[in-house]
Amino acid sequence: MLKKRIIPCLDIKNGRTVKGTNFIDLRDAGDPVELAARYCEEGADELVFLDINASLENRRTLVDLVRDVGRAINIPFGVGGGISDEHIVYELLQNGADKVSVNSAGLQSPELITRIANLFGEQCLIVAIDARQINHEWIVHSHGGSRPTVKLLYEWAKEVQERGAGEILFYIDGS
Amino acid sequence: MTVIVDYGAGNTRSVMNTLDRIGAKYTLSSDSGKIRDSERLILPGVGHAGAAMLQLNKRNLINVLQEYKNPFLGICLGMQLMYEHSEEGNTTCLGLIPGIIKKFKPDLAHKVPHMGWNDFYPVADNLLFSGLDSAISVYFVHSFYAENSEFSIGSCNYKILFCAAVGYNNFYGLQFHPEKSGSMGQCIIRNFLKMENNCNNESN
Repeated sequence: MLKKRIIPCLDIKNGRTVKGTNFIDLRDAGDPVELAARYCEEGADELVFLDINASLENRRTLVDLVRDVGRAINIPFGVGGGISDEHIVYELLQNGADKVSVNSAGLQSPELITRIANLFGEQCLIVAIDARQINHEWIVHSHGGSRPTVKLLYEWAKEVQERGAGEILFYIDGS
Repeated sequence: MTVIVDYGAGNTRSVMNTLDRIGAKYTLSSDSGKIRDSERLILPGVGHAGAAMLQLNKRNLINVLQEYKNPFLGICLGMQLMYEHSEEGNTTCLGLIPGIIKKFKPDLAHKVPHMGWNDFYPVADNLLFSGLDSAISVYFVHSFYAENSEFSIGSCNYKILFCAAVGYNNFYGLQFHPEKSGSMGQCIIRNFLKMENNCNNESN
C-alpha cells in the first residue's frame, strides 16, 4: 500500500525561507537549500517550495533555487508561486523539480490546469487551494488568501481534479 | 565511463545530480559510438513509451542499445522500454527482456498513476541490492507496469504484486526512481556503478 507522506512546505521570499502568519509579519527562517537538506535527512518524504513574492523578475531566482535544491536532496519536490504559463513549468521541471503547484493563475484561467496536465502529465501537477469560511461557506481565495473568489471549495476541488490535477494542496484559513 | 542516454525523455537532471553526489564520472550523450564504448549505461525516462521510442529511433540508438554488452540500467519508463511491447500507445519496445508492459486498472483505493512511497521487496542475492533490507521504501510514479516473471528481482504490491525490478543478463531495470528514493535509492545506484563489464546477473 502507498504510505502517508510527510511534506514540509517552505515559503520563499527573495530566495530566503520565511515564516509568518497569513504571509504577514515575515521572519527570516534561513537558506532554503540548507533547510531542504536538513528536512531530507530528518526523514521528510517530499518537499514543497512556495515563492510567496513571485513575479516576472523573480523567475530566474526561482529556477536557480530549484536547480540548487535538486543538487542537494534526493527526494521528490514541488515548487509553486506565480506559475502562470507552461514555459515556466517546462523550465522548472528541466531544472530538477518533480512537480509544480498552481494556485491564483489556475483560478483566473482554469484552462491552464488542463494544459499543464496534458503537456507534462498529471503526476507533476499540484493545485493549491486556499479556502476560508465566510458566512458558513468555504470560499476559495486567491493571491495568498487575500482575495475571495466566487468559487466554492468542494466544487473547485472537483473541477481541478477533472482538469487533471494529480494532487491538491489545501490551505485552510491560511494556516 | 558511465553514460546516461540523452534522448529528450525527462529526468536526466535528477539522475545526474545523484551521480554528482556519489562523485561518479559520467557523460550525458546520444552518440552511438560513446554509448557502445561505455563501461555501463543508464537509460532514464519520464513520459510516453511511444514518444520515447520515436526519440531513440530518431537518434539511431535502437540497435546500439540492443547490442549492448555491459551493465545497463533502465529507470522507470527506461525499464519499460527494455521489454518487448507496451500497452502505452501500443508501442514496440527494445525487446531486451521478455515480456510486455500493461496499464494499471484504477479503483477507488488505487489511483493511477501509482505515485508515492511504497514498499519494495528486493531479492536477497542480487548485487544491485547488496546492503539493503528485504523491504525498503522507494518512490514510484507510473501508470504502466511489468508483471512478475522469472526475471523479476524485486516486487511491489499495488492491488497486484508487480515487477518493480528486473534483471536479465547485463540488463537491469527499476520501475521506481532510485534517484528520488533517498539514501536507499542512492545505495542501489552506487551498487550499479560498482558492476563490472560483461557481468552476469546470477540471481534467479
